[in-house]
This record gives sequence, C-alpha cells and structure tokens, in this order.
Amino acid sequence: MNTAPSCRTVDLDLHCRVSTDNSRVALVQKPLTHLIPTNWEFHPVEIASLHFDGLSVTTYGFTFPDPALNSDLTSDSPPPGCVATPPATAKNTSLAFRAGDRSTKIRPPHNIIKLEDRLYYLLQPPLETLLANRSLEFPCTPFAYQLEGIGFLYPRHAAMLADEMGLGKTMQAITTIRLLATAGEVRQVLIICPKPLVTNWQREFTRWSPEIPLTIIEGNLKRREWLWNTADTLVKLVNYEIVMRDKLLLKKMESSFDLVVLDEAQRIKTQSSATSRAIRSIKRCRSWALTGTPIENSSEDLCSIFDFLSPGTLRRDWKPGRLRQATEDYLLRRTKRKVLKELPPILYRDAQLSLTSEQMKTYRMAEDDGVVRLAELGGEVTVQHVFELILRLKQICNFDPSTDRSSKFERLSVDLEELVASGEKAIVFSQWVKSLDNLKRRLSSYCPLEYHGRIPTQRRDDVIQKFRDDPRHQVLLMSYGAGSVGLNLQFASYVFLFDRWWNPAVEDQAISRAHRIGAKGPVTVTRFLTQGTVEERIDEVLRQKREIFDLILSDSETPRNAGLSQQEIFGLFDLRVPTTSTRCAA
Amino acid sequence: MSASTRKSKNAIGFLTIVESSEHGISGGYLALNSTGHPIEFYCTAPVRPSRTQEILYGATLKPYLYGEILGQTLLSQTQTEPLFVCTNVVEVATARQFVPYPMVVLLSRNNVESPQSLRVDQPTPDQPVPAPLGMVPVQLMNQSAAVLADHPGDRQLMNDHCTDLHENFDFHEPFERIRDAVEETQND
Repeated sequence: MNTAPSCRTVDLDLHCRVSTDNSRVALVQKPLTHLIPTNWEFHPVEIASLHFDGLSVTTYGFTFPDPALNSDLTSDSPPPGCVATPPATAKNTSLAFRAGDRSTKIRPPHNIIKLEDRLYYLLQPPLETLLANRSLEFPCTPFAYQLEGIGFLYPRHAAMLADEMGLGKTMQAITTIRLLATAGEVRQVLIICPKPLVTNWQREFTRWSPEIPLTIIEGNLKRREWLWNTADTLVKLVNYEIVMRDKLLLKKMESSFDLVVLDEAQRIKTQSSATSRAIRSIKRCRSWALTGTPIENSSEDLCSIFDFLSPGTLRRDWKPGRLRQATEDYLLRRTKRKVLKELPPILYRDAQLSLTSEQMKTYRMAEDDGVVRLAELGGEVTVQHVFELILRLKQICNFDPSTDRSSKFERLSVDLEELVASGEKAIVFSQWVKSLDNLKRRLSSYCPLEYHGRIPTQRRDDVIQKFRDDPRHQVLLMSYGAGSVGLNLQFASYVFLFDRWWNPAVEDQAISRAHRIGAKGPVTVTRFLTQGTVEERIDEVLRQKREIFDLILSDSETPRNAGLSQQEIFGLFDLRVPTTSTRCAA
Repeated sequence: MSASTRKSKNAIGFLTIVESSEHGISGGYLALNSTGHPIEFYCTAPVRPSRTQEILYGATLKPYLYGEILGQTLLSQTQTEPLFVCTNVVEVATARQFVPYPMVVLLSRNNVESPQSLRVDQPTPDQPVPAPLGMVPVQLMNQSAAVLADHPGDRQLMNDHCTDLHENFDFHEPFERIRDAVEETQND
C-alpha cells in the first residue's frame, strides 16, 4: 500500500476460518482479499502562521515630593515652631514605636477625587512606621482604636471625631497634629475649646506632644491682638468666648490657619448663633470637630457642625438614614463598649424615690398653681413659661424650700456614708449651684469640694488636684455646666446624678468624667428620680432623645420616633400648644 | 531605566504582580527610602495573555510575562535607581537580566513550594525555606531570600546594602501598599 499524506478507511471483506483451543487462536484458512482500486485525492497543505509580538503594556505612575525638601518624617530636624526633643533612651520611661509594630493604614477619604492624591495616602507607610521614623515618644502605648482615629484624621480636611467621652479624642487630635507638623503639612493650627478646658489642653499637649509649644490667646485686647498676629508658635489655643470677642481681629487676619480644631463642637449646634457665625468665618484649610455628642437635641445639631466642617454637605430636611449615609466618610464614632472591652462596666442604679410628705405638699401646690397660671395665659403661653414651671418643680424635688426636707439627700447621705467608709470617692452632679451649696452645708463632715460656675477658673485645677490627691476630700460637688466636659476624674468610682439634665448626652458626658481610660474598677452611677413628679415625665422624654442619637450614630436601622417637640414639653402638664408659641430649643 | 535616572543612597525597590479575575494581571513597583517613605510608584494597566500565548509559552509564560514584560517595563520607568529590588513572586526575578542592580526574592513556603506563584502574605515561618531552582539563598535581615544563581555577585551586594537598614524593616508590608494602590487604579 502506498503511503499517503492522509488515510482513508477501506473496508476489507475478509472471509476466513478460525480454530481455537480456548488459549490460542489460529487461522485455518488464508483470508480471501479483494482489493478495490481507489483514487487518492491530494489537497494542498495549509500552514497556520502565528505571530506573537508580545503584550503591549501601558504604565501609570508618579514620583513623590523629595522628602529632603519637605521636612519629611525622616528628617531629624523638628518642624517649624517646634523644639527638638531628645531621642528616646533606655532611662526614659516614655514609649516609642518601632517599625514593624502593628499596622494601621492611612486610607484616603472618599472626597479626594484625584487618583494621584488618593495613591499618595495609600502608599504611605503604616502609622506605626511613621511614628517610629520620627522617634515620637508617648507617655503610654496608644490603644489600637486611637491609632485608627489618628489614621482617620490625618488625611482629612473635614472630619468629625465623635468618640464617646473618655476614649481620648484630645490625645488623638494632638498626635495627628504632631504628625502633620512633622510632615510639614500644618504650620498654623488653631484649637478652640470651652474656657474650663484650656488648661486641660495645655496639660495634654505637655503630655503627648512636649516639643510643640502652645500660645494661649488670652489677656486684654491689645495683648490678644499681638498674640493673634505675631505669636510664632505652631498651635494657638483659645476659648469660644474670646473667638466671639475677637471675631473682627480674626476677620482681618491675612493668613489662614492650616487647621482649626473645635473641641466640644456641639457649642456651635445652633447655626444662627453668634458663636457659630464667628467660627465659620475663620479662614482655614482643614476643619476638625471633636465631640462626644454631635447630636444633643436633634439632627439639626449635626447639620450645624457640618456647616463649619464642610458647608453644603448636609441638608436639614434629610431623614436620619440619608444624613447617616452622607456623614459616613466624615465621621468616626466609637463607643467604649465596642473598643474598650477591658474598661470596667458602668453600673446604673435608678433610685426612684418618693418625696417626703412636706416636699409632696409643696410640690402639689406649686404644680397646681403653675398649671392654673399657664392655663390662664391662654394663647400667650410660651415654652419659656413652661420651662420656668419645670425648673421650680425640679428644685422642689431636690429640696423643699419651706422645710428644707429632701428625700434625695436622705438617700444620698446613706450611700455616701457607706462608700466614704470604704475609701471610695464620689462625684455629685446637679444643675443648680444653690442645690450644691445646700449639699455642701449638709455634707460638711466629708470636706466636700466644689466645682461649678462660681469657682474661679484659676482655682479649678487646684480643686481637681485636691480631689485626686488628698484622701480627706472624698466628695466632689459639680455642676453639669462646669464639670461635664473634658475633665479626667477616673479615680472616682461613684457618680450621683442628684437631678437630671435636659439632655441625655450631657448626663453621659458627666458620667464619663469617672468612667474613662484609667478607671480601675466599675463605676456606679446613681440616678435620682422622684416618683409621680415632672422628673419622671422628663425621664421619658430623655429616653426618646437618646433614640435620635442612636438612630443616626449607631448601627440601629430601626426607624423610631425622634425629637423633643413642643407638644412633648407642653404635654408634661397636659397642655396644648398654642398657635402663637415659638419653637422649642431644649 | 529612563535617561534621567538618578542614583539614590538608600532607595529600595519593591516589585510585585497583582492578579485579578476581573481585570487581569498588573505589575506594581514602589521605591522606598530606608525608613519606608515612598519615593516613586508605577503600575501597569492589566494585561491578559491569550489562550494561544498560554499554550505556546507553557511553563515559561509566567517568567516571560511577569519578569520580561511587566517587570522590565516598570523598572524602565524608574527615575531613582534603587540599591536593589525585592519581589515576592519568584518569576519576577527574570527581570534581573535587564537591570544593573540586584533583585532579591523573598522566600516563603507559599511562593517556593506551591506550584502556583503565590504572593508572600505571611512572614517566613521558623524553618528556613529552600531557594528555588536556579537561585542561591541569601539572608535579608531576618528574612529568607534568594538571588539568581546567574548573578552570584548579587549576594554580596545585598549583604552590603542591608547594613544601613533598620533592624525591624518590614520587607513584606510594602507589597500590601502596592496591592492597595494597584486596586485603587483599577477601580478608578
């Protein structure tokens, strides 16, 4: 058979016989074959040619600014306006990070559109490496969530750090400022805080960033003008009241701040207030807000703070879900329960008390009389009238003005006797200095200390120091106004809310003075509530306010009725809202 | 390398491959100074070899694609000549033939023993990892690594260059940065 480039099958019709013995087979007869001639058809051969020129690759990339020209983190020289700190030594008790420690990434915010800018942040080393490179020392090791907070603030031009009180917002802000300063990204920083917290900031800067000097804007107008314009320190610290007074000076300033930080930013929750307007007019590149309570009353509070942070980002008519979505990338909030699992618990005790018979008699008279008067006012009645009645009734719930009897005090004195005997310290909060005065007189055997609006600012640090260090002073009497923010009183394990504030967030702030990092054991909070009084009705309103907060800032998606309406205020006394009444601002 | 390439006292290059089932295969290069601060970054648009290329190149596809195509392209872009280039993908080391500086492969059980070219995602376990065929082991700080046997001088150069580095320098972390950045460019 000829060989051929391709084969075809040919059926051969074979006829033969086969014999077998089960193991072998043999042909008995040669097969008969019939050959059929076939014409083979030759097709031309086709060759498939594959050209492989490789893959074309396009690239994208960029170079970073020369570190040597940018006061980079690797530089040994301190940033402008800073003093050099000695390198960490074995004798030094402070801590420094080492490269290769935990890895906290700096993620760019969503509002950075340009790819190159986003990559700039993504390609930075982890925060721990940045801190290690400058040998930045810390008095104690920051918690992982605090480093995350620093990583959150670092790339943001508009940011709200809304951690629950006691988680170290001040430390996180200071460390981020320190990092930005060493990277040459900020040279002029303004921190605005409530007046009583100026010394607290000063102390925290000394602790967390000793190389950065502070200028405190204070004194008479001439001095302040000089400080605003000529002080050449990296950080200026000022209270809200002075910003208000110096708004024209600030307006006239030619340069803008690289960063303005608002501590207790809920101070600008009212958009139309003079303070809010003055602060919004400050020229700045970056705006940060620190607050444990971004929503005290309604979502409007949050919108007002955002008018400072990023004007136009929020609309007041948005529903909570939309607000939450829109603020997600700007706002970081952690609660102690989530991040400080090792923090001792808060033990709440609701002390529901009955008024003494004398108190009840006075209370009933005052309430009946007050309600009658409100009714007589008819359409002229305002929220203010209702508030006045509420305040009078709440004061009676504390102490009967005619007999000075107090069921709350009776309970408080029993509790204090026990805890003082066991060497514990307690803070008693009230909204009235008059009530605190009364308590001071009655509790004189415990040498109580006072911290409220009548105590001069320069004496307040001494009060705190005595309470902390002197074992004779085991009770601190505080007003919500003066003592609810910024103070570290973690050495007290008992908190008494002698009367209730209008706002649950302020109560939380007060409790957090004791329940914060450093607390050695559980903090017991006793909330006094007199039964069958306006206090009980207010408590129900407070519960509803807390729900608003949870709706926007927590993981809860359940829509709930939110807000403190006029109807609810008037409803405390079964009154109907008159058509002429003004809007409530509780 | 581009004509304007400048030499750096302390730049270290990191070169890796990022594979995505959605986008394809990209290369990424990041140059850092000795404290981990970024100096320059380049990445490629994703490529996807055709079926024909896969068949024709067979086992040599990855060294060709990772080293000769992506690696070489990226290294030709650099403006700062690094002391050496680290990679966590063995096949990328073939790019060494196109550059005058050493290339070192960080070794782990993943990228040496697995038939697939896996990234080094975890620090090297306690047991030393053997160098792949055609490579000689070197010690990069506390990290097992290898250089191509065709370039025996690289071993000494590596040892010389590492003396300036911080003892805790993390050679794995920069690859995470490159991955994040490449993914960001792909999602842009």
